Amino acid sequence: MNSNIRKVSIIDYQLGNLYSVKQACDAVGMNVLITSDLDEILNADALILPGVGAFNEAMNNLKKNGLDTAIQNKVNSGVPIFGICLGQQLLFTESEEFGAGKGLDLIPGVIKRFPEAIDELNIKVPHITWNTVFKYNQDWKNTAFRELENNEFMYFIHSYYAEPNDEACILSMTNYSGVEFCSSVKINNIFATQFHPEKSASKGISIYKNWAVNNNLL
Amino acid sequence: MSNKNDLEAYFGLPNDVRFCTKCVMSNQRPTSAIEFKHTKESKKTTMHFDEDGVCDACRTAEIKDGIDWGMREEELIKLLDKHRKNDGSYDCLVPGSGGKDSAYQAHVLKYKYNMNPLTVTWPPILYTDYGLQNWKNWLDSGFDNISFYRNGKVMKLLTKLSIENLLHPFQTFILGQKNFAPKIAAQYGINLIFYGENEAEYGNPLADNMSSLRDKSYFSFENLDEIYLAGVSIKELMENYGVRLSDLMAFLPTKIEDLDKANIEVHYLGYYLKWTPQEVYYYAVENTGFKARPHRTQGTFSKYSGIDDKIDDLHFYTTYIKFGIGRTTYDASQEIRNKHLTREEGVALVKRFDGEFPDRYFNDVMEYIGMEPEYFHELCDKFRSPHLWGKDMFGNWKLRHNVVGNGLDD
Repeated sequence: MNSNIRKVSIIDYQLGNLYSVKQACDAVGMNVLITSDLDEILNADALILPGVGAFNEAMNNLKKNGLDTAIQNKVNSGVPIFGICLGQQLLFTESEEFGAGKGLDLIPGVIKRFPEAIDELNIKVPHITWNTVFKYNQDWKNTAFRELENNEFMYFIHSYYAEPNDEACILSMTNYSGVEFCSSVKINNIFATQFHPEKSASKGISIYKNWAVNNNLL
Repeated sequence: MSNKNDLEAYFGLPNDVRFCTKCVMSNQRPTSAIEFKHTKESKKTTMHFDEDGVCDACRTAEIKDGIDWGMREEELIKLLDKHRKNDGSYDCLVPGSGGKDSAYQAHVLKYKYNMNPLTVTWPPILYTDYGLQNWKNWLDSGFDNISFYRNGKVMKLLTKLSIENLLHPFQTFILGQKNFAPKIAAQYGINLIFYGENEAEYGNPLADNMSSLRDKSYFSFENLDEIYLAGVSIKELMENYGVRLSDLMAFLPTKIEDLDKANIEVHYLGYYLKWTPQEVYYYAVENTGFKARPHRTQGTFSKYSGIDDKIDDLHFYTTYIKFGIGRTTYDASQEIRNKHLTREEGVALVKRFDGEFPDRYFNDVMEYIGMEPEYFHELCDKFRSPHLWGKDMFGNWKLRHNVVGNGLDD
């Protein structure tokens, strides 16, 4: 085996859309392994944190295997991480979701639920649709979004969204029924999207590719 | 709110409606039955759910993940080598209408495994333009084909009767789909027939999926008296509807002794090759000129499956009426099992599309069989099982229970 091949761990904590994420990674040529093995993750050159489902269940599963501290240590030491959907939310300090508590606390901020209504207008939750992402605070030129136009359509499915304490980390925002929320973040080695790039056609796949290129993973 | 145990359940369905915790299928889903024994009085057996509330189809999908497909392919090659002929005659038979599945089957058998398949077509009841074009494209990609056009008058009568008696518009197609191929195989001296997926993938008992062979009871019979078409006995069809036995032969299965004499094996290719509907679709697009229908199929979200028969959409509408299971429920469950959708997405799709009335081809179908549209709707109401359906405060029919959890009695 060529030891120069960069290894990416897709973290498996029994709650995730792992299959489609792996397909996307394979498509752009990343060397990925779906794993919940601590040693494997500690040895990885980069991490992908997918996720579908409930915040507290996800955190409990991560804690059970000691994966939470492993992720924190890796990210604090500068290893790149890519969070997707619930995987983005887990990177924040805490969630308002029922029964939920602390997250990985790598980005200061909270996870909030969409309101049921605004000005008597009902909001359908979950937010399941293609929706646009637009620029906010950061230029996309040198990021994983470099092939995206402003207001590109991406695929969303979620009931909660992140609210960072410091808006400087917001890479894009999205408007759903009048609620403007943070749909992606980029801060140092942390990159995460609320939407599913792996389910967002070729522009979505370009995000995987450019994240891999930016972090020297190909 | 009514006590659910007081409500009658038609067709032998379970009184208690439950939904699989992994996909969106309900426990009302009937398992495969022998089509030519189907009468008004037939009781369904339904899909098994285990103690964790997971359906057999999901468990089958999990087993599929653990299968050594390399070994299975070796088994396939052994089987093919046993039947392979080099004298220019056909060595296997692939029935199909030119949809993605039959296109894939015939193509891999011929161009990957070097077999010499004859394709046979029992055409849809009413071809859509897209379906007919896909059938032509399939054959143009390199296959011999025998298509059978059955007596149109009898076809219309049986299709109409199967709606009246069983609310089952698709029966005449299913009969041909299962019965036609073995007859042609016998005539041509072909011993090997391939179908695509085993029905067990979608919820027959798990044990059914452990073999590549289709049970003969689905396509053979011993005694003419045991056969019903459209829920009517052969004798009654001849006496009361003036149909000749010779006009019914095309719809009947093969006699068991003829089948045994011909020494025909019917296999599922899905046992040997990993079968993922979306992958099969992409294969057919690349290799046999298959095209998805440009519009969404009514009653569901997809564009690539079951698109060649105008009556197919109506078929799934009737499963929604009889079992509370519409086409979205079938499609989403399959996509969830193949990891292309999450359950949450599946639930949202069911909420949005399940039970949508298929009006695009409805009038064409009614005109074809000579039925008043109003009469069809009256028939539907007769087939709504009380344990599944009730009326809301506006007098509209509503499911008592659905996977979203907002049914009349949820």
